[in-house]
Amino acid sequence: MAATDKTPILKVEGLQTSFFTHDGEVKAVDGVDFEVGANETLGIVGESGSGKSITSLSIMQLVESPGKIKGGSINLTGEDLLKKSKSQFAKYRGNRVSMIFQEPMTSLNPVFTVGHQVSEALRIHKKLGKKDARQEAIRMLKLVGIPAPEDRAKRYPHELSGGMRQRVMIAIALSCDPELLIADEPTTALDVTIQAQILELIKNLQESSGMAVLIITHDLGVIAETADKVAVMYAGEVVEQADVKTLFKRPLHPYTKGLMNAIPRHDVDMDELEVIKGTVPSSAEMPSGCRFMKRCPYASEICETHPSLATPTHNYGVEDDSGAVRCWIYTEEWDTATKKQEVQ
Amino acid sequence: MYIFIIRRFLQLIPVIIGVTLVAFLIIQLIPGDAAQVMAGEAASEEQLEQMRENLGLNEPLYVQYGTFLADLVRLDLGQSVRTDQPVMELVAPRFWITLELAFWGLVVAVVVGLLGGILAATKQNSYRDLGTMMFAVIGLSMPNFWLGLMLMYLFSIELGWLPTSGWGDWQQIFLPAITMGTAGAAIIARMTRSAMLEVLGEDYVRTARAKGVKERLVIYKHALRNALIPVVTVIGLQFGYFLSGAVLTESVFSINGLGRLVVDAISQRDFPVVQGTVIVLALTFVLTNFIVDILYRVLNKRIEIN
Amino acid sequence: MGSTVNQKPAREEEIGAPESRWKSLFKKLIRNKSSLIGSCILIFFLLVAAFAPFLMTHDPNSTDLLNDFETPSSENWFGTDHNGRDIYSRIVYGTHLTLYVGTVSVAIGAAVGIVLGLFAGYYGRFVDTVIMRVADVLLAFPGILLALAIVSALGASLNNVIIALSIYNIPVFARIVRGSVLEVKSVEYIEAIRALGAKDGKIMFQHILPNVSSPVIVQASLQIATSILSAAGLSFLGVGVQPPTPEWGAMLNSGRSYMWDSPHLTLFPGIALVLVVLGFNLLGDGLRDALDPKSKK
Repeated sequence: MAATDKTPILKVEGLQTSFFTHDGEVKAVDGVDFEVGANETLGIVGESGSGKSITSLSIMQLVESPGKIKGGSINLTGEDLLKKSKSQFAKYRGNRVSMIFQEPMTSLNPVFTVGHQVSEALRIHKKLGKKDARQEAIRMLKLVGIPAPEDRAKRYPHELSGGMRQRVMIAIALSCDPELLIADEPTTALDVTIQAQILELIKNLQESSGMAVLIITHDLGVIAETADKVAVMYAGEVVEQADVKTLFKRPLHPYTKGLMNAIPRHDVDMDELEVIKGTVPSSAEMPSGCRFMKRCPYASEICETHPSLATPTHNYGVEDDSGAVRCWIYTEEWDTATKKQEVQ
Repeated sequence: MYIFIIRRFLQLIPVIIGVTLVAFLIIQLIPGDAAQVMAGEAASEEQLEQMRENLGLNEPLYVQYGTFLADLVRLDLGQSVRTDQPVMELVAPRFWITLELAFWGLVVAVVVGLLGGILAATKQNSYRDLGTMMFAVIGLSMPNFWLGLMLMYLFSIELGWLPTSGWGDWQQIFLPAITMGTAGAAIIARMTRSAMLEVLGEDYVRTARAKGVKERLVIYKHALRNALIPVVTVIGLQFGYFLSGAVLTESVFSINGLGRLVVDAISQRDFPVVQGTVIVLALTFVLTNFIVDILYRVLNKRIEIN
Repeated sequence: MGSTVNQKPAREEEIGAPESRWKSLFKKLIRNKSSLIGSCILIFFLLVAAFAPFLMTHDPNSTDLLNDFETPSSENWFGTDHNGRDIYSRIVYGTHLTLYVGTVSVAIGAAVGIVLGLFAGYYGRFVDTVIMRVADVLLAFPGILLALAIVSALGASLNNVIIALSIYNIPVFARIVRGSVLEVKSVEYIEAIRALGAKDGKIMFQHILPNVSSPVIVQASLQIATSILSAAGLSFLGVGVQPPTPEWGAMLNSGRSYMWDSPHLTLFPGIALVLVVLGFNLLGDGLRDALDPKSKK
């Protein structure tokens, strides 16, 4: 694993993004912290509705009305992006921070050629002329593994396959050599074989450029394959954060455990696939205590109080103890509470 | 593509024949003796017989229609029963005036409609949106001839800025063009708004924003290009409706186009002229729709997603 | 995932339970601002038409040449016309004519158009081809041109205007109904009924028709608006309802000669016309928003 730089490329602190609907405020992202260093990949994993996509859109400041970033800070190499004016931030978006999306089929504009769409960011940010931008676009297309890039550059998106289009999206995102790449479910819409290729491509490109990568997914398989660190999100909060190896070896939060059990495994003989019961609570029925409480098999009285993200009391046989978990089970309070019960 | 055009053209043939049949039937629909109606009460029996002879009214219906069609193919629309002039001679010069009028109406409709639709869509549910759409629905609800009269009163009579009537000078274009274009502008604005709203929610618009494209360019380049595809069809169809709108507008502003010709002909019971004008207007309408259909197909083909 | 789950009950609602559908439609209409405003305007004009005798301040047809071209005053609220008739009373009296022409011509046009559309969509093939070609021909006459041609031949009168506008409305409804029938025809429910041996007529009118009613209702409202405008246009051209009938279009036609000095002759009937048409257009828009499953948001 690559050595992590001291100052992280991206540092998100206390991020809050809400949607202000007719029925009141929906806190999609509610106090999220994490950081990603150069050459490092952070995976954010969670179900749909967990707030992981809104987190990524918040970083890009692409949250659409009625959504709004309410608080917190998003630091890119020490500069708070949320303090920038619209026009100041415009210089970052697509240049130093860029993003690829889930749906390669619909993420490219059908009326412009692929080459035009790749060169657009170059013309905006690198101020390249038409010809230079075109040359550079073709070079990017080649870099992301598109065969016959000169010819493909003249094509319209509908003439390309899904995998090719996602490669084009990557070419667009990386054209200005960003420090941070956000990939929101980059492979979900693709065939399994193509998925692996795209993930491999992102990894290779990261190695050569040293950019930080934030990968958003619901698929722990993708996390295992790409991420160095993982943040598990649930109902707008990070509920567990750990090194990827640690997380897979020793998932702590009952939700993480549930997610792990939801992956079909060939090495373990299981009678039945265990799936977490229930769904992410809506904002109206959001419990004031632990948000996972209603679905948690271990829920207890203490869970009525909202837990904070903290280092667990025990390290459960793992050397690295940099992880954190938002669950009462791994606190001293839990230990004393259960002891009390035993005494009674 | 060529197969599509040919197929579409073949579908056109029965419609064209139908149009001629309907136009032909106008005279047959006249209650009582058509010759009497056209010649007037005072006509003598000889004059009536002459009229019947000229119009071929004594022949069986299918012979009459056959002759009518045969003449039509030779671009002969018959003769006016009032002036004995060939209808074609009456129609041709006025056709260009009406076409020109429709063109300027379309210009107003497209410019105002597109701008209004974009303004509304880019700030959905704002007062700007609400106001624009309110204007649009009022514009749709306004009889264009009344709007014409009101504009004429305001700009010609009260303010004296523009001439009240006529056609030929550039100043004479404004009021009729606005009169004709308002309803079309309303329709185009509504269409543009909904198309823009749909497109603005598309993933590729988000991609453009993520690339760092300025919001103005996101709207006018990335979104509008796509939104225009359905709007173009509406615009094309509008042109046909302007041809009929011209009937009323020409009457208001005393413009000597096809519309006035047909209205005057009706009041003078000059049915061959009515028939000729109706055929020309309807066929122009059918042909514009045909062209728009093909254009839409061409536009769409290049970008068809599935 | 969520969307596919949600769509099912919507379909069932559409086909299965008519009462709850009307109730929910009513609720949606009340919440929809444009249909609410439109309904209010229309109710206002319906009341005006119904209570016209009580609302009129003068006899709409009594001329008073000593008091012609009066501008609006407390005596003549909207002024008097070239024959000294009270414009306000004439507009009030003419309300029922406008509503009558619009609704009757759409009712006739819709009735015929629905039947033809059902036949075309249900039987397909030859029946479809013939009916739709005829509809194409009628639709080839843009705007009021068809009505103008028909009225010019039949002669100018209220009834002939209604006949002409009815014919003009037929293909519009035939086309819409045919399209909806094609959509509904292949729904399992209809196929099941057919498999059970139900008669064609019963299937068409009892089972298919209710399911294609939404677009028809929306179109009817918008079409009334168009028909009123067309009728007024015909009167304005002098080929529709004839003076001295206080029809709004005819009033505009006679008023236009006096635009220079007395614009109020054309102002007030025009405003009345705009308001009624606006009412039907707003109602139609609101109905479309409420009934169209695509625009549920």
